[in-house]
Amino acid sequence: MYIQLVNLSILLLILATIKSANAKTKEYVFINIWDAYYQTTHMPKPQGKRIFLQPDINIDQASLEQFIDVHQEFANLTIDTNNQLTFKYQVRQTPTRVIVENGKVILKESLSTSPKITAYEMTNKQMATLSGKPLSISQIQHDYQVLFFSDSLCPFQHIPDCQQRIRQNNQLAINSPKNVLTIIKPFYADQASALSYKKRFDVNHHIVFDAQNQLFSHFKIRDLPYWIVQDATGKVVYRGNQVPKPHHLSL
Amino acid sequence: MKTLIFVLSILCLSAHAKQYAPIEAKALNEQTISTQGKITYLKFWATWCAYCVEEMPVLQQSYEDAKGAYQVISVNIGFNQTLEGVKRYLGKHNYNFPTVFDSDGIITKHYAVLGTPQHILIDAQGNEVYRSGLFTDQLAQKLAQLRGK
Repeated sequence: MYIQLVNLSILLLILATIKSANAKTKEYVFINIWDAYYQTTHMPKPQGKRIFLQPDINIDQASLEQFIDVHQEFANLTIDTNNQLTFKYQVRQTPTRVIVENGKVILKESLSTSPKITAYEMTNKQMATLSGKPLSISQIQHDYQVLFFSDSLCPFQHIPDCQQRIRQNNQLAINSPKNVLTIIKPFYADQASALSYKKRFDVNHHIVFDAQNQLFSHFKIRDLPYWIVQDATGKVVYRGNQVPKPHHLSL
Repeated sequence: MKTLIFVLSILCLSAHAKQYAPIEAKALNEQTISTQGKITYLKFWATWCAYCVEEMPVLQQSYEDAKGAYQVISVNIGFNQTLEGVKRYLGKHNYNFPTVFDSDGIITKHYAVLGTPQHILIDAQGNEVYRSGLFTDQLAQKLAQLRGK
């Protein structure tokens, strides 16, 4: 009985020591979700409690949660608010892991990845609305009066007030939905993102995913969301990031 | 490689606008640039940022049009970037606006930049006059006003 108690104590002591050692070692893995969508990071065996961190650049909580939904292996990923640890450990590339033991960095290394894919891919596919209506620039100039250039990443920091402006555009389209076309930016997005945008914002007029960015280029759109109003001849009579006024429209 | 000297050590905040201490930094062409007493248009960017790259011709145009009305400083944020890659990119497109490679992220942090692209216009006293994610019509208007148009 006494020997059994001693053995149990030793076992508990060993377990406690292992637990304590692991608790003192933390492994921070810095990833960039926008890259991680398109590449696989080869994860080495953890050397402590693994904590995934997203540097605080081009990120918001909603995008982070969307990413985790798709990539459950990063379930504990959090934003490194104001890049506190990113600066502390001078992480300037992702993915990188930093192993910290008793507050001291014992290893900092870049992790290998598979090749990256660019932000958007060119395609020769015929431009069409999400409902399948084929489109060309001349047709757009002829068929639509209001062109609303938007971004399926909304809400996001580079497109302030986008939700409000999407609502304003939907309101504009209520009376004459056939005259309004929403055009979705292709950066970091795809046709599925455009469909999600349509559903999320309850858009009931035509939407086109501008896969080749040709409409944004043609109309020289730099700001988002943004309106172009054309007259019957396709001449631009208004352009701006504020909703067109009634006198711009004859809907 | 890059030197950054905070000429003033206090970051002042007013009720209306952020004020930033002036910075001095070495551009890729080895020229020392400073925001001290100068109206400055800063653009923070990266080569992997599709929105940033798309806007670059506008930045070049803003630089060419400035003619002393304001100075342009392009700040590559140095995150997931290499100095060689940035030089190669700028050379390939013949962009000649002054560019700083923010290798340690200090300038990006100084101006509280958490996204790219980021456009910041500061007056000669370092007050933030305007900030936006994209090159907006309002920014174009403010630059045009400075040029007297």
